[in-house]
Amino acid sequence: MELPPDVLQFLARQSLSICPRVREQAHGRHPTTSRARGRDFAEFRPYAVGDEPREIDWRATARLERVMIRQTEGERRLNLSVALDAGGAMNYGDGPAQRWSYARALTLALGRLAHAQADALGVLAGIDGAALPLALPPAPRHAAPARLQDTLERVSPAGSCPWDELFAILPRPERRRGGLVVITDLLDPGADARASPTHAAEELLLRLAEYAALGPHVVVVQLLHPDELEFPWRSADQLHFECLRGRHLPVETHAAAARDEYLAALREHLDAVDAAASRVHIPLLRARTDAPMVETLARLLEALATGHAAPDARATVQEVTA
Amino acid sequence: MSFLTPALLLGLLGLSLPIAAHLFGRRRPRRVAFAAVRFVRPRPPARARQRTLHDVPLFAVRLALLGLALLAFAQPYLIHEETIEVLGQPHDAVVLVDVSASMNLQVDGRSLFERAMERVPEIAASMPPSSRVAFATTSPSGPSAGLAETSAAQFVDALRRRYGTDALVDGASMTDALPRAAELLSADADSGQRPRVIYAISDETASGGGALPPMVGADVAVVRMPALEIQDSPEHVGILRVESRPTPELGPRVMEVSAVVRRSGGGDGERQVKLSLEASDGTRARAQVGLPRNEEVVARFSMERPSSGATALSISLDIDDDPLPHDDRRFAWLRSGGALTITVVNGAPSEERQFDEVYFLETALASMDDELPTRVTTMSPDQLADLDPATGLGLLEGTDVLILANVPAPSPRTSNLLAAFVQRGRGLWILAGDRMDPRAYNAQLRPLLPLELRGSQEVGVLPGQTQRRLERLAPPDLGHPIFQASEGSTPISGFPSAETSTIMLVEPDPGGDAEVALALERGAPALVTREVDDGRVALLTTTVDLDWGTLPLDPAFVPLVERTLRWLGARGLARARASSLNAGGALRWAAPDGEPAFVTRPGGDRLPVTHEAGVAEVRDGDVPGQYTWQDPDSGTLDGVAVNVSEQESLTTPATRRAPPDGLPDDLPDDPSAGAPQTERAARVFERKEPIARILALMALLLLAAESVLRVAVRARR
Repeated sequence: MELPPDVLQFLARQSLSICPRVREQAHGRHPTTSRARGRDFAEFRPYAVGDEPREIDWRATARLERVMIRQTEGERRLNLSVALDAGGAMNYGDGPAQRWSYARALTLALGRLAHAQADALGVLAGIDGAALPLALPPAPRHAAPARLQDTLERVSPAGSCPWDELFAILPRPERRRGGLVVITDLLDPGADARASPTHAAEELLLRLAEYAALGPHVVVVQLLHPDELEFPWRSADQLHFECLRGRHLPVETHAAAARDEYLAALREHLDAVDAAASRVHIPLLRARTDAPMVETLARLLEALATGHAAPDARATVQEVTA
Repeated sequence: MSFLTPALLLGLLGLSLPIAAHLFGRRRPRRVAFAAVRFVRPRPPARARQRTLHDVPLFAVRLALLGLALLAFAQPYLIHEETIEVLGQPHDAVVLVDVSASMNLQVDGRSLFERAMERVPEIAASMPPSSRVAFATTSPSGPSAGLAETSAAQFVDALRRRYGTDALVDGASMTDALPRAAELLSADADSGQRPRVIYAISDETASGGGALPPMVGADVAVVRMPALEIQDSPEHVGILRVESRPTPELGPRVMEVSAVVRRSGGGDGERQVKLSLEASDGTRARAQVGLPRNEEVVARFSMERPSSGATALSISLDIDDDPLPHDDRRFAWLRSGGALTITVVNGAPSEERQFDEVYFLETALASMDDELPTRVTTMSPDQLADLDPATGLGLLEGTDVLILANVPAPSPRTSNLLAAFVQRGRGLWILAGDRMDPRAYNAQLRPLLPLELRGSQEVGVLPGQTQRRLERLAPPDLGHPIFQASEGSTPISGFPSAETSTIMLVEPDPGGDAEVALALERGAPALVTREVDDGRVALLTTTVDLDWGTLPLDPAFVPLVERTLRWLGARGLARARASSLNAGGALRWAAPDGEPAFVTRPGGDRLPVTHEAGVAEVRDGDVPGQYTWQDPDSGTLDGVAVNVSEQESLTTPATRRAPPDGLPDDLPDDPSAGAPQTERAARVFERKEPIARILALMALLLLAAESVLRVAVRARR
C-alpha cells in the first residue's frame, strides 16, 4: 500500500520531534538531559550491561577503580517505536477506512519521517497471541521505508493482541531517549475474556504510564471505525454479531432496539478511557478511520512534539436518539 | 364473473401459507463481524420473529401472481346475455352457416366461426315447439342435413370434424348458398304449409351477411344472424391480389409484380407494412408501404420472368398479429410468356375433319407458332352452357381469347358469364355461321356485340338469277389496330383470293363505338370490333370454313387470324398469367390434353387430376398455395396458384344496422292462417367469454409495475 500523494506532500513539510520528557518529581518539573554520543563531555556513570565497550572511559575507570562510562552532550538520535495492535479487531472495515489499513498508513508515514531524519524506527506488533518485532533499526538508509512497507503488507491481523508479550520486547527505556506510539482500538484489550473492557483499557494505559515513567514519550492512538461510533443498523433486521477477536460468543440482537444501549455503553467506555489517560498523563489521540490521513497525522505529530493530543469532535459517540 | 371449475378456488386458501410463513417464520439474521461486540447487548429471542411484512411490494406481487394463477386454473369467464329473435309460431327453418374464409377473423381471441357454431344450437333451441330445422353451410361440399334429420349438436360436431375451428378457406358466398338452403325447405312436401325461414349466421361483409336479400323467392324469409355484433371489426391487413405486367422499358423480360394491399379497420393514420417477394430460390425483394384505413395500396416489385417454363412466387406480409392470417400471403406463377391461351367453342363439329367448323382455324393456329404461340382448348356449346356461373369464370380464368365458332345463342346464364369474362380484360371472337340465331344473340349478348345482327344473307344474287355470285373482300382498313403495321406481325395488304357467298348482316351502328376493320367490296362489314370495358370483342360476319366463302383458303387468312387474336388477347399476352384460383372445394382450370395426371399440393400430398373437355379438375383444393406438377417431357415445374378469394379479405362490414338483428318486418305469411303475421319469439342466452387472457395480462402488468417500483425505490435510495 502506497501512501496517498497528499500524505507524501504533507510529510515533505514535516519533521519528527519528541517533546523533552517531563518527569514528575517532588520539587517540581524540569527537563531531563539525554545522553548521546557526541563531543562535549556530560558526566561519568557506571557501566551497565549493554553499553558499548568503546564508551568506557578508561582514565576514569582507573581513577575510580570502577568501570565508568563517559557520556557526552552529543547530537541526539531519536529512537521511536510503534506498537501495533494487530488483533482481529483491526480488520474491521473496508477499503481505506479499514482500521488495519489506517494503522498501517500511519506507521508508514512515521517511518518515512524518521528515515528522512536519520532517526531509528522500530515497529512491534501483537498478532494472535504473539509479539513480533517487525522492523528494527538501523536499516539501510535508502531501503528502510520500502522494507517496512513490505513487512507491514505481510501482516494479517488475527486473534487478540498480547500486550504482556508486547511490553516485553519494548526497547529498554533507560538506555535511550525516545518515543512510543501505540496504535490500537482500545475497545477490549484485556487478555481475560470475562474482564470488563473498560477495566482492561485502564490497565493498559496504566502500564504504558509505567513505561513512560522510564523515559520514553508515549502517545496512544485509538482508531475507531465510523460504524463503531454510529451503529448504523437501524432497520428491523435481526443481527448476528460475531467477535472479530474470536474471544467472545456471538451476540444476536435486534438492530434497532439494541442501538441505543450500544451507543450508551460505548460512550461510557470511552469516557472512562479518556479519564484514565488523563490520570496517567498519556496523550490519547482518538481518530475515526474515515478521517483524512493528513489530519490524523498532523494531530499525532503534534502530540509527539507537545505531549498533548488535540481532541477530535467527530471521534465521539453518536448522540443517542430517543 | 363465474368459473367453470369453482372447486379449484379452494386453492386460494393456499395464499395463507406464504403470509403465515412470512409473519411467523424466523428470518435468518444478518451476520456482522464486529469489533465492539462487547458493548452489544443481546435481545430476547422472541424479538427475532418476523412480525411485520418485509418487502411489501414484492410480497404483494407474489401473492397476486399466485392468486391469478389459481383463478386461471378455475377457468373464469364473463357472462354476456344475448337475445335471439325467431319466428314466434311453428315453422320450418334452415340454419345456414357461413364457412367462408372471412369467418376466420379473430375477435377477442376467438374466430367468428367459433362463435357461429355456438349460435347454431341457440337458434334451434329458440324455435317454437313443432318447428323443424335443417342445417347447411355456404360450401356445397360442407355438411348439411334436411328438415328434422339431425340435431343442432350433431351438426356442430360435423362442422368441427370438417373444418376444425379456424381452417376455413372456402370462398363460397352467402348469396350463392341461399338457393341451396331454400331447396332443403322445398324438399319436404309438407313444408309449403308452414312459414319458412333461413337463419343465416355469418359475418357482415359483402360476401357474407352484408348483402343478404330479405327473401328467397316469394315465401322464404332470410333472417341475418351475425356471428358477433361488433361495431368496428379489428384492424386487418391482407393482400387482395397479385398482378403482373411487362415493363419493356426496364428490360425485355422484366416484369412488374404488384400486390394490392388493403388495411381494413384500425386507426386513421397510416400503418407501415413490410412485404417480401419470394420465389423458389428464396426472397427476391422487399418493400414497405403505408396503408391508410380502408384503402388499397399497390406494392410493386420488379422481377425477370423465366426464359422458359414457369416460376412459382409468393408475396407475403411481414406481420405477426393479423387477426385474419389467411390472406397475408398470396401465390402466383410467372411464366415465360408469349403463349396465348385460346378456348374455341365449336358450334358445328364434324367427324370428318375437313368439314369441321374450326378445321381451318385450328390449322391456322398450329401454323403460326413462330409468330404467336398459342395453347388451344376446344369445347362444345353444351359444355359452355353447363358452366356454373359461380365457378365458370374460374375455369375461363386462364383463357385469354374465347372463340365462338358458329355457336347458337348462349343462354342468359352463359351470357352473364361471357360478359364478366370480357369485362375482366379478355377477348371474345364471334365467328358467324348458319347455326347462329341472330335474334337470340341480340337479346343475350347485346352488351357485347359490336353491332346487332340482322341475319344471314347471300350476297350478289342478281334479280332473276339463282346462281350465287361471290363477293371479294376489300383491302383492310390499315388504320385499324388489327391491321396496323407492327413488329413481329405479317403485314396484310389484301385478300386476293377470298370470296364469300353469304354473310351475316349487321345493323347500322347508332352508338358509333364499333369499328369496321374489314369489309366486302360493296361495303358490308366483314370484321367488326368493339372494346367493352377492359375487354375486346370481334365479330366476323363470314365463316372460317368453306360453307360461306373461301376466306380460309386465302394466303392472308393466317395473318388475319394471328393479328385478330393478337389484338383480342393483348392483355393476356401482357399479363403473363399471374392469375390464381380460389381455394375451397374443387379446383378447375383450363388445361390442354396431356397436362398433369397428379398435382402436388402444399404439404406434399399428391392429388389426382381429372380431365374433361380441356378442363382439369382437382378435388380437395381447400389449402391455399402452389399446386404443382412436373412436365413429363421437359421436366420443368408448372402449376396453378390457389389463393383465398379476394372477397374474403374485405372484412369491413358492408352495412350497418342497429342491433339486434332479427326478423324482417315483411315476414312470410302463414299459408294456413291466411293472414299476415309478425309474431316473434325472443329468447335470452348466456354467452360465456373466457377471461384467462385478461388474467395473464394482469399478471404481466403486475410484474412490470413491481419492477418499475423497485427500480424507482433503489434510485431514490
